[in-house]
Amino acid sequence: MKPLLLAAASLALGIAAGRLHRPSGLPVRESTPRLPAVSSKQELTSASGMGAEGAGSAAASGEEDPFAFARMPTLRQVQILERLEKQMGKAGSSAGADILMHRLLETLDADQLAGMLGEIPVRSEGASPMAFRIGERLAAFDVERALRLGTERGSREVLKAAISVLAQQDASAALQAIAALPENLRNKALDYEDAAEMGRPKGSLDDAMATLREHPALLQPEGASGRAVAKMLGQLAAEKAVSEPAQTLDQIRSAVGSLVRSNPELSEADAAKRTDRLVAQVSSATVGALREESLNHASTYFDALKDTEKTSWSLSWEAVSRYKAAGPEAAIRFAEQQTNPDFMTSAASGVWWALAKEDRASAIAWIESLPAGAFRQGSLRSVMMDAWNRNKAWGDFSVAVEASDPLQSRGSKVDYFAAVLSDRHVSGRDDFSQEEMIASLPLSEAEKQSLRSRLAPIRPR
Amino acid sequence: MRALSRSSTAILCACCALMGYGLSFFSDRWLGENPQAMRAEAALASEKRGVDMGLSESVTENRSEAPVGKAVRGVGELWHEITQRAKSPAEARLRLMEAIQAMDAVELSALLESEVGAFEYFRAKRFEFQYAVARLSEIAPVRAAELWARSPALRAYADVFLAGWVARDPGAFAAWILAQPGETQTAASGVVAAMAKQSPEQFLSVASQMANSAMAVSGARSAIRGFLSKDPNAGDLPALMQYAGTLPEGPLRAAALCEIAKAPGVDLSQQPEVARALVALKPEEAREVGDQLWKSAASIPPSPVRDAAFVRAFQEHAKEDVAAAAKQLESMRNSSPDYPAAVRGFVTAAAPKDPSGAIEWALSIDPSATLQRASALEKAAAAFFKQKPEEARAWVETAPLSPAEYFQLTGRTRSP
Repeated sequence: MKPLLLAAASLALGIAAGRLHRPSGLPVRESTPRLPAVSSKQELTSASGMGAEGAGSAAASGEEDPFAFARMPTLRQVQILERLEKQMGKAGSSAGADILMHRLLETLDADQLAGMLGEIPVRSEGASPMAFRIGERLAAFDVERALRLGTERGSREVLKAAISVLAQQDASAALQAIAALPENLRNKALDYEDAAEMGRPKGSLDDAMATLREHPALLQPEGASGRAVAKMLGQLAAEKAVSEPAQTLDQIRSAVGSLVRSNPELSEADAAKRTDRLVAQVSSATVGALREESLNHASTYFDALKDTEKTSWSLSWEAVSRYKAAGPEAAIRFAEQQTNPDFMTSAASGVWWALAKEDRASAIAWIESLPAGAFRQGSLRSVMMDAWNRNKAWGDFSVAVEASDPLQSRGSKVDYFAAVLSDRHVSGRDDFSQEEMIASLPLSEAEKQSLRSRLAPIRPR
Repeated sequence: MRALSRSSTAILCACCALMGYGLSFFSDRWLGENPQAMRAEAALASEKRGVDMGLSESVTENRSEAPVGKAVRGVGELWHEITQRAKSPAEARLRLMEAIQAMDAVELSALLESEVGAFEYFRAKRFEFQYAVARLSEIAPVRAAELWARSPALRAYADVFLAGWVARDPGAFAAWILAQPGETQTAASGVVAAMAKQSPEQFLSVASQMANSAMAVSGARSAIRGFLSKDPNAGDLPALMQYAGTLPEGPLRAAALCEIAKAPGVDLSQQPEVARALVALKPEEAREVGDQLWKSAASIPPSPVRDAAFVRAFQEHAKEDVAAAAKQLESMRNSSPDYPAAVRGFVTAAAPKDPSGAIEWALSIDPSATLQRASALEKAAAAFFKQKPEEARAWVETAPLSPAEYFQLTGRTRSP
C-alpha cells in the first residue's frame, strides 16, 4: 500500500512541478509582472462581470497569477475578449469591461497580439473596440507590424489604431503610412468621425507639408481620409498659430494652393474654390485646437480667414466662443459685423444658443426685441436646434412644433415656423409636404396664409 | 531484499513524478483548458454576472459620502498629464482608466462637473470623458444620470450616461426618468429603445411602470424589432402577438402591433388586431408607418396608413419604371380610391426629371382629395420653378387652379 501511496504522491508532485515550470505551451514574458493595484478588487471584478478567482480578475487586481490569460490558447483569449467587448457595447458602456480588456492585453507580447489579430473576424460594418485596442497595443510594440497586419487583413480598426499611434509620434510618418495604404483601405481606415478620437498629432508642419507634396492626392476635400488628413494638418498648425497666426495661415494657404494647382485638370477658378475649401477644413481643425488652449488665439486666427475660407457652421461656434471669452455683447457685435446674411444667421444662432444656456427664459424674451432680418431668423432657428438637442430628437417635426410654445408673440411664432419649414426644405426632409405641415401647425388660418405667402414655391421676379 | 524494495519504490516514485510532469503539459486538453481560464469563462458566460455589474452600487453609495481630500482636476487635464508621461497611447489609456478607477463617486463627479459647462459639446465626445462617465454610471448611476439631465449640452450622449444603468437595473432607471421633465424623457427614448431591442423580456418588466410615457412607446416598437432581428422571417408570429398582448393596453400595445405589421409575410386579413392598430394611427405616425409598409399597401385597410403606403409604393414604382407606373396610374383613374395617393407618390419621383409632365399628373387628382392634390402640386411646381422659373411663372397664371391652390403656389391672390 505504501509504495502505491508514494507513487501517487510523486505523480501529483510531478504534475504540480510541471505546471509551475511551464503551465502552457505559449511563450511567457520574461519580466516580472507588476500590475498596479486598483482601489477595490471586489468592485472591479463585480463591475467587469468576472469571477473573483478568474484569470481576468487576477490580471485586473494585480494579485494571484496575472499571466493566466497570457497562457491561454489564442482562440480562448479571443473568445474572452469578445465577451468583454459585448459587455462594453450592447449592455451600455462598461468601464469595468474596458479596463479589464486593457489589463489582459497588457499581459501579452507582440507575437501573441499579432496571433490574436489572425483569429478575429474582420467586420465589414460597425466598430470593434477589441480589434482597435489589440491594434493599439501591438502598435506600441511594433507599429510597422500593426500596419502590415491591418493592411493584410483589411482591418479598419487595426489600421486606424496603428495610424493613430504613428501620428502621435510623427505626423509626417503617419501621412507616409496613409499614402502607402491601398486606395480602398484609405477611406475605410480613416473617416472624419474617427479623426476626433485619434489623439493630437505631433511633429513639424513643414515636414507634413513636404510629405503631402510627395503625395498630393492625400489632401482631398471630398474623401473621408482627405478630411482626416486636413484635420491632422490643422492640429499640427495650431502650435505655430499661437505665436504666428497670420504667417501660419499664409503658409497653409500657400502650401494647399500649390498642392491643388499641381492637378493640371483644374481650371483656375476651380482650383481657387478647391483651395478655399481645403483651407477651411484645415483651419477648422486649427481653430478647434486653439480653442482648447486659448479662445483669444482662436479668434485671432478665425478673424484672419477670408469669408470663402469659412463654413457657415463655423460662424455659430465662433459666436459661442466669443460669448464664452468676452460675454454677450462681444458675441452680438461679432454676429452683427457679418455682411453675408447666411453668416449673420449662423452667428446669431450661436449667440442665442449661448444666451439660452445661461438663461433660457430671457433668451426667449430677447427674441421679441430683435428686428426682422437675418439675425432674428438665426435666433429663431437656434430655438429649433436647441429643442432638438435637448430632446435628442434631431429633425423631429413635432419636437420643433412644441418648441414654439414659449415664444411670446404671434409674430415670433409665425417667423419661427417659417424658419422650421425652410430648414426642412433646405435639408431635403420630404416626409411631409409643406402644405401638410402648415395645415398641422397651431396657427390661425390667417397666420397659415401668411406662411404660405412667404414659402410659396413659385416666386415673383 | 528490503533494499531492493526501497530502490524499486524510489524508481516507481521517480517514474510517477516524471509521468506527472509530462502529464502536466497535456492536462489542459484533458481538463478542458486552464481551470483558471474556465472559471473566468464561466463567470463571463453568466448572464447574471453581466447584469449584476451595477450592483456594486452598495459599494458606491457608501463611498460617495467619503471626503474627497484631494484636489480635483478636469478629466481633460488628467488625460493630458497622463499622455505626457505614457510611452504609448495604449499605456496612456490604461493609466487613465486606473486613475479613474481609483476615484470614488464624489471625486469622479467633480472631475466631470468641471468639464460639463454649457459649451463643451465636442469635449464630451472624447475617450477620456466617456470612460469617466461610464465608470461613474457603474458606481453611482443616479449621479451620472443627474449630471446628464441638467446639462443639455450632453443630451447627445444619453447612451454613454444612461445605457449601462438601463440595462442593469431598468426598474430603478424607470423610477428616476419618470420624475424628469418631458424633454428629458424624450431624450432618453433612445436608450430605452436600445434596451428593449436587446432584451424584450427586460423591457416587459418596466412596461407597466412606464406605460404612460412616450419613451415606452419607442421601447414597445424596439422590443418587436429585437424579436425580428433575431428571427427576420418572423417565423414565430404567434410569439410576437403573445408578447404584444402582454404589454399594457393602449399606445404601447398599439405601437407593438403596428411594428408587427412590418414583419415579412404578415397577412393583415388574418391579423385583425394589427389592422385595427394601423387604422387608429394619428396622421403623423401613419405617414412614417405607411412609408415602411409600402410593399403591402394593397392589404392595408382604408386609412392614412394606406394612403402613405401608396404614396411610397408609387414613388418606388416610378423610380424603377416611370412608363409602367404611369400606365398603372391610368388604370386606377376614376376607379380607385388610392389614385390621389398613388399620383402624389408618382409626382414626387417624376418631378425632378419631367416637372411639366408631373404637374399635369398632379392636376389629375380630384380637388376633393385636398391634401394629396396640394402636396403633389407643391412638389411639381417647386421642381418646375427650380429648373425653368420663367416657364413656371407663365404656367401658373393660366393653370386650372382654385384660388387657394394659386395662393399656395405663388403666395398671392390671382389678379382678376
